[in-house]
Amino acid sequence: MIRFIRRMVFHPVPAAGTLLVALAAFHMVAPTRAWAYLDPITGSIVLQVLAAGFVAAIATFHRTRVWIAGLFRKRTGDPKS
Amino acid sequence: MTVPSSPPSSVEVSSASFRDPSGFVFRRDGVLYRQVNRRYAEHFAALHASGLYDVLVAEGMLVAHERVDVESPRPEIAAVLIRPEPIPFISYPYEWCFGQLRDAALVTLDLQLQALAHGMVLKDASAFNIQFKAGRPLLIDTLSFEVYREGEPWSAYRQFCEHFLAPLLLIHDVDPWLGRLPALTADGIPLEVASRLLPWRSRLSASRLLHVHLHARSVRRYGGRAVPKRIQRRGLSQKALINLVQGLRHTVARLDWKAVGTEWADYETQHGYEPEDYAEKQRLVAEMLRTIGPAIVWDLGANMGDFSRIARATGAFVLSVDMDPAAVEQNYRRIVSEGETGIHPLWVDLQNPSPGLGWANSERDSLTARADADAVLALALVHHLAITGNVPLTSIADWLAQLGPSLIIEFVAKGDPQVQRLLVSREDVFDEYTREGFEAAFERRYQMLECRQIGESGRTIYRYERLQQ
Repeated sequence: MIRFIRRMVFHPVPAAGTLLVALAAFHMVAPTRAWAYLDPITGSIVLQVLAAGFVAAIATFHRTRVWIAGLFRKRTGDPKS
Repeated sequence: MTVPSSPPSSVEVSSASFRDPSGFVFRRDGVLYRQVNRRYAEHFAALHASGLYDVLVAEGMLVAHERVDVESPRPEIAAVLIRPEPIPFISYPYEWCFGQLRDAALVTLDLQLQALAHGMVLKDASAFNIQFKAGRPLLIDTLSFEVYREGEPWSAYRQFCEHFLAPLLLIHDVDPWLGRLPALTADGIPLEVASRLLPWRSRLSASRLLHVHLHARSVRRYGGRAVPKRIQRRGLSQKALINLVQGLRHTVARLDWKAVGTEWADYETQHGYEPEDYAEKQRLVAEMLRTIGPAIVWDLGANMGDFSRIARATGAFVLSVDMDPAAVEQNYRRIVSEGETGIHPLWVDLQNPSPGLGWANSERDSLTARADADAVLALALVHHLAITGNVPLTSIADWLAQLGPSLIIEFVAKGDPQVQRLLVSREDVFDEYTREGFEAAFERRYQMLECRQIGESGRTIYRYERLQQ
């Protein structure tokens, strides 16, 4: 929890995204004890399609972060920073 | 090219190659071939025509092959026959350390990204399709690609998560010994099991939440149902699929397990030798190995691979086996950083070596069934098997004799501090654990060729040759 609070302070965008998805999907995450024969492909396909927007948001965030970090590197002229 | 098949010729279809209707693997006269079935011919042609095969082979991500004209065991469904380059040793994901599994996961995702860039897709993501060659992971199943159709989600997404992501997260977030879990199942760690085993805080990580927890829930929720029409209509764009794969790659690449804190992780400083005696042991082992001149060495109880490197220096391919996950991890990282190509580290508990697994116990061979060593190194090992594991010396000799014809083995007497450490909290019931008892047990299976004292350590190294029986 402390780690999550720290993420909220220092990385608010992905942390807020996580929280939103967690809240929206809370009923889905609660563990159950049901064991049954499963068709594993359908659930996997549905998740990929439904989560595409979320995955795109995360990807955009990472690309933006890399782009901003690149700007700082250019300004300081330090390839390692 | 044509491979002559003059009788008598022996044909054996691989017992691990029956699930995929695209083709199968077989051996003819000891040579491994892969048949491409007619139903897969279009995709196999696209693999070459798209340029994907050339790129993947050039990058060392896919095993190279050549087309051959050889008699097929099932000619009625054959389209093409190929001979893949041989892999020096077939190992399984539950025998890999964290770093090996992570690198195998990364190469699987890179294969998928390359495939998408060439208009194809990786249709399965089984960890058993990855093997190590020249120190690096590569795909051995050439029939794993098919032509990509726009809008189609990744059918191997669940398999990737169960074969790679789940065990990696369990090792990283919970305990390294959970890396053994895939040995209990035929097809990776079920996502529902992984979801229950991962700590609650893992739900606060976006990647763990999505790829494991929500994924497990979605699999259960839609189990036994067809894909809903609205999901079929929406589909998944190629860009979205690439985002998914890149997101997985980002998650896997960030995982870094600290290989410390286990019993043998600090072996280099705890092996109980004075520096000059340790140097003498290295010299003796190198000399014995040069005398044998093996092509393949199995170094059992290798720790971080000091003696594996001595064996490697003689030109041999070395299987470097240890039971401690941190020691194997450190060995592997050293192999990667040094660019070593002839040592394969393996995480195996020799008191409980990998059994035959999968359908009919024959899909995945036991460790013993894969034995092909010319020489076996068993240094500072026997006291652990005999005293910690209560394995009789005769039984140890019987098993080692199955692995290869030459044996270099160290005997550590009961008075040695390392043996005393093993006896400190237990009754000494090991009356037969004496030098005489050791020699008598091994002379049932071997002829002794050399017996050398290691400096002032009180330890002895033997060189044995297996008896013809």
